[in-house]
Amino acid sequence: MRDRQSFEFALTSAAVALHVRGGVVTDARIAAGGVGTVPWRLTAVEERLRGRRAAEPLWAHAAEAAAEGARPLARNGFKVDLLRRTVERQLRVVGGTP
Amino acid sequence: MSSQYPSAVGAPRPRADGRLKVTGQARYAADHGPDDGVHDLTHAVLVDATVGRGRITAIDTRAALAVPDVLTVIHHRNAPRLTYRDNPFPDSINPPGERLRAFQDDRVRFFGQPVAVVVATTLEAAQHAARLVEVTYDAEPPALDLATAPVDEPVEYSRGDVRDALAAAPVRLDATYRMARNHHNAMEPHAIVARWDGDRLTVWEKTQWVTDPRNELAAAFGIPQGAVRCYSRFVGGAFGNGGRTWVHSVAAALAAREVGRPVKLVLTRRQLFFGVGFRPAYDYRVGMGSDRDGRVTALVHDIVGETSTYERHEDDLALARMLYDVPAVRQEVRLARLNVNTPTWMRGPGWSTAANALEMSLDELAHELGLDPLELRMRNEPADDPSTGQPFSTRRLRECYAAGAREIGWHRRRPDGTRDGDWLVGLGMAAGAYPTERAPAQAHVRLDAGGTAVVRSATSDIGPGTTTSMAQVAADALGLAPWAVEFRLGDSAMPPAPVQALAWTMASVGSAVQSACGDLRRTAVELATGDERSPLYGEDPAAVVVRRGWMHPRDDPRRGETYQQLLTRNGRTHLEVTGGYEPPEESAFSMYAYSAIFAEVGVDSRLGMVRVRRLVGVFDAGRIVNPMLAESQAFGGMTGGIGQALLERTVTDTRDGRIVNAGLVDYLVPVSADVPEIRAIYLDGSDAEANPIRVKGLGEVVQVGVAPAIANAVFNATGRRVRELPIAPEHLL
Repeated sequence: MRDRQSFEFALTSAAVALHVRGGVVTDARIAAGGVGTVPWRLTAVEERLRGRRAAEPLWAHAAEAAAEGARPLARNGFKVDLLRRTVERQLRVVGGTP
Repeated sequence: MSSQYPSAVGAPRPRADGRLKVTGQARYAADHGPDDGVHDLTHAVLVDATVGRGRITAIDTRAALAVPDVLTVIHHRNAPRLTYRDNPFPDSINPPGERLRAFQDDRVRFFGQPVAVVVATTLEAAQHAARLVEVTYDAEPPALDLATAPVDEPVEYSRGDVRDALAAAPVRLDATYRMARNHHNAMEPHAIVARWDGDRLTVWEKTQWVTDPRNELAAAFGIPQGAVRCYSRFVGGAFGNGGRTWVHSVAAALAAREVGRPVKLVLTRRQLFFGVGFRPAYDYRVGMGSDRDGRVTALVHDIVGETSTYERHEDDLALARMLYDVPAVRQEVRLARLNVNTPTWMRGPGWSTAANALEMSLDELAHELGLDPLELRMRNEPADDPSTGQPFSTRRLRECYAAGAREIGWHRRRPDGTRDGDWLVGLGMAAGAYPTERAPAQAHVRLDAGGTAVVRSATSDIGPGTTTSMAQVAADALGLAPWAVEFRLGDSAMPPAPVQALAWTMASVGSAVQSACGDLRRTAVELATGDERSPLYGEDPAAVVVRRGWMHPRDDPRRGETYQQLLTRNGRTHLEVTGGYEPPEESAFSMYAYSAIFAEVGVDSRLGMVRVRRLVGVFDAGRIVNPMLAESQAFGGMTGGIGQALLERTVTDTRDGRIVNAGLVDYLVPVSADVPEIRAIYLDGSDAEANPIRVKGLGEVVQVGVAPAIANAVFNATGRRVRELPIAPEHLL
């Protein structure tokens, strides 16, 4: 997620790996970029994913936890919301919509 | 007229210097050296202030001077006092005020101001030593905020009774638009090579006007203008900030004089953000009154823009006075005095800023009225120029609207946009104008006995293809094939030309070229008709035409002779003429080029990303000398508009005035991926009132109206009105 389409760092980015067996998320690895000095593992999102059905209500529910504990600075408060939305989008891209 | 050979003007000819450019043979300012007689070249690197305002209390140069190969460090404590004669317009384009001088006092006026220059025999040594110069400051809090800085007395414009008109208007709008500071960011950095020969100074300078460094350096050093020679054959883009001569050029020439050797100084990309001007930021409050049918009755603009503490750069913000038929208009422009270096022209100067505010507010009014934005503009189209009462020389905005609407498919526009998966899709449009300016210019033409001609004028080619288009004009006026004519520019010793800016080069220099070449053609024809040995002897010169170098009576193409035959027989090596163009003091007509811009954007409904999907520009710019070059100009200007709309903003650290995104990584200019399919359409035509070439200027108008068209499309897509440019994802979440 970035304002310029290339040669630009992300405003927020999300890397998503899902293990899905029989329609259920057995494991997940989620990391975010653009929101800290290093790539940030989103364990709270991972926890919300494990053991749940890989289907529509889950993505938004899990992404809700993406910015848990985030402390924005004066001019980047928008990233809290943007991060949730970016993670949600990428979960849906990877997990698919039924 | 014979149609055997089509005229060169109007033909899509590729750039005459294209091969030189793409093979790396075109040499820009910093490329000059031994081949140009520049020997023992040394390198200068500027040391920049690290506070936003204050005084220098100490400079320690010991460590810098200890670096091997360093020759000297010059600063205000050891620099000679320079003459700095006044050098106002029209000798320069210095704005009113007291210009920044090279190392003449201890005051810091803005962050990044040059406070010293290091000269060394190698660039690496100069760069290293520049970091070792220790400067101590007594810092003061800088004025950086447009909203709170002290402002000058307003410049006012008024017609009609705005107060009554607003009070009576059934529909009113009051909105403030904020536009960010933009930096030019041409590919080529500012650079200069300076060499003294006794009291004579030669510079190879990146400039839009070789006359300006000549005059400014002469003024700074107190020497005659004729003692300075400036060359600038190729310029790698400028967009306005190569117009005036900045302090670094004086610093380089000073350094060269002090070390007694030629000096090269190239600004770093970072330094380009601090020392060579910018498009000022604006707070632009718009009050508008309209009747229910969309007839705008009152327009109030309260404007605050940026300038420096030491000079008044004033953009021309007159668009709202003439674009629509509004009876009551009031404008107040205030300039805020900030601790920045002085802003300057940037593409579509003033007019693009004004179009952003006017055209976004008109879109708001259209929405308020439930009216198609295009229809709203039609309803306010004036018959004559409402600011002067003059008739328009040509004004074909309605045709621009029609062509643009057809091309973008305006009929597809829905009041609430449409949807494409995650994307909200919208259509927007805006209009623009830019004045058709003209200035005195001269050109020299020499026709050689070999049948080829060289035309020269001290103009520039910062990208529009002047070298190519002037040769086309000259070819037609001389009656030669375009390949037989070479146009040379970029030397201050050539016949004078105005700064290449304001889209007036073709109108001014082109007219001079046409005049000089026409005079030369007549001289040759008269030589032939008065020469007993010529097949044209005794003919009426006015009835003789020249095609591809062949002079013949208009009605008898087979009887005649070539320039070559005429000159050779008469023992002449060449003929030469200097001619000029002097624009009339006043015109009975209102003369502008016009733009109608249409944009289709997609906005990601959840993430706020904006992507321009299509961009259509339709321009009423008079005669088009070279459609290929004109299209290229439009692509460039419209791409600049994408930057203004969505990407470009200079961000200042509010503590000290440091620009925090001073580089191409953080100051975002559009890259190829941001530029969609662009279509540029020039209305076929010409403007007989404008100038002898019948052009209206196109280099500026191509950016006017682009940003608001995109912003209005974002509104159509999302229903969210962002009154800030550039529009960022954070505005749309």
